[in-house]
Amino acid sequence: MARMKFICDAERCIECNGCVTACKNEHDVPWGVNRRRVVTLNDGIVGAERSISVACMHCSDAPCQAVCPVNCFYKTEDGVVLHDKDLCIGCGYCFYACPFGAPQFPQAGAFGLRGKMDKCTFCAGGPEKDGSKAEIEKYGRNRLSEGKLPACAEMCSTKALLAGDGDVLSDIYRERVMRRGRGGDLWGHATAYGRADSKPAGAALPTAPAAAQPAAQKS
Amino acid sequence: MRPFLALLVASSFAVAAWAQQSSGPVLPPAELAKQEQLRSVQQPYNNAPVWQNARGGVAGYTSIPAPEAGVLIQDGGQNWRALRNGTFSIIGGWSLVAMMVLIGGFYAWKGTIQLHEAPTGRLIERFTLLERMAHWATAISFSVLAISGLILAFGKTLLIPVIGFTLFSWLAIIAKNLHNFLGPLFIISCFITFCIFVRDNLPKAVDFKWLASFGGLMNGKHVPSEKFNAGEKIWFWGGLMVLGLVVGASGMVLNFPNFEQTRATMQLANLVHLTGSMLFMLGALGHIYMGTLGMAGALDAMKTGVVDEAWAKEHHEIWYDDVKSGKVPANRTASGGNGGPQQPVAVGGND
Amino acid sequence: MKHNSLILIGVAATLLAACGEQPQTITAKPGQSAAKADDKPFGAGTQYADRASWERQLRARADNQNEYKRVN
Repeated sequence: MARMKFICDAERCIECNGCVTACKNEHDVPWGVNRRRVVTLNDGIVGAERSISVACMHCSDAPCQAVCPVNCFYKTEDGVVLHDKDLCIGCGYCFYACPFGAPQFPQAGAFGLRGKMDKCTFCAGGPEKDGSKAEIEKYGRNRLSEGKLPACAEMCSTKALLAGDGDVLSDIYRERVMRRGRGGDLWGHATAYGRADSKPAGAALPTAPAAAQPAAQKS
Repeated sequence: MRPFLALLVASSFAVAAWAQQSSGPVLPPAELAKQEQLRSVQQPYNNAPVWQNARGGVAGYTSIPAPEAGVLIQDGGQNWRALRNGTFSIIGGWSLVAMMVLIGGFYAWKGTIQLHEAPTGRLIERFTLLERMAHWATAISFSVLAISGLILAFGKTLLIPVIGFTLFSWLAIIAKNLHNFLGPLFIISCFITFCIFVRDNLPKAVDFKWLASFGGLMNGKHVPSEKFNAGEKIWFWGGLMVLGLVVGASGMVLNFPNFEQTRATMQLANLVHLTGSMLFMLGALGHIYMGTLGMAGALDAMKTGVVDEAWAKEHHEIWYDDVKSGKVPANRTASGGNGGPQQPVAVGGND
Repeated sequence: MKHNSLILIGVAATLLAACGEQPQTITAKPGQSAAKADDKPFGAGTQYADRASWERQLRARADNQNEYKRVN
């Protein structure tokens, strides 16, 4: 059985917001609701800037599900966290609990009155007949039932954002790390085994004073 | 010594559980950025400094113009979830049950407290129309808020298995809207009630005497009290004022999410709201019991506004003396009070 | 002293109560919808005969994201 996951490769994400646009377009997401967003950390600092595309991560132990007072969330057999908009009361608890800021609320009235929650569905629709008008209006396209993967990942120009069964994604990412040949995110790999090639793009930066190296280490 | 050890063990578990969940930024973001620059040279593809930054809730740049959209990971939600679903629900829920059992036991022990002397038939005005309206506006809005709040807090565990998802969702939508719209009304009526009753609720020395024997409830001895006894005054200051403020303020933070409050603020406000409202409901259970089942004549006083002289003498002797001596008019409405034209209606004592 | 220990036990119990978090979900079993049944993307009326063929399709599709497998 599959376990659907997202992976975003910070080495590849170029902050083009293609995934955001793809999602908006695929599901006709209303203005003010953002199922996916790209966050850039250390923006503008050469050599330290990293971007990540983030949406609902479809947690195993989903906090939104745990705190929902009407229990409108459910998990498909493939690990996708979906919700029933007919049950949702717009209380906002899932938004308080979610670490990723995934749940979104269209404004339904004055003073920030919340409408029904909307979030990334992993392009798997919701509890309506697959591909029906009701499903598209409430949750957007159901690409998974058409044998397709989420539009954001399939649209990604650098293939930074990957979607699909976790095992397949792991294989892809593992191969990527091997091709990079520099240990990937493995701690201390470069220090222990040395760099595979000459200095990377960051070489123009001030070279590290010898004392800075141990200070940066933490296990 | 042993309890201290037990506490130490218990608290170290609790602290450990908390520490697991929250990890602030180890270094200031600028310092981490500098480290990342070095690391991209020394250990390419190892971006640990960047992710330390992200976990601390430091906002990055995003083109989405929503509050906190630049925050990758906000890890306070996990603490909030554990406390709301765990500690607060369990302790709050069971303490409500315990309070009801306690009151039931008390009723079985004491029953309704009756007047010892026969009613005289002479009536004293205790509450004017305005006072009663203020009280009932507060009381009704409180009850609706309490019931709708309980539905939202415990309906998932208690009601969904009984009435099913769809029906409960309708109930919860009604509860949520009632809760959201009656909340501000409750705050206003609390404020009005406070202003109206504050003068009669100022603490006096006699209140401490009343408290020492819990109004003579325990030893059966008579303790004189003013218009409001110390128990009522505690409910006024601790319940209406303090809890009203706490629950009201935290409720407003949650009710109006259009001021770009952060999630951390909402989580805290929700926990404060839960604590305050649980204490409020515990107090209200006691207050409602004493006002209805617990004491004969108390509900009539708030319903009709008048009490029998015998009732006044027995329960609020100092106030009764003041009325008799003319310091307080026996009928404030008739003597130009604030209650409007309604005359007190004669009622048949206590029933 | 007796009073103190009671308070301490109370505080300890309060702190530890969070460990007793009950799962508030009622039908949180995988594949089970809350109120309405969610359609399966395979079986009668869909383009996939069974779960295996649907999963094979998604697996192939996911694998296509690996550009190293392309002929360059």
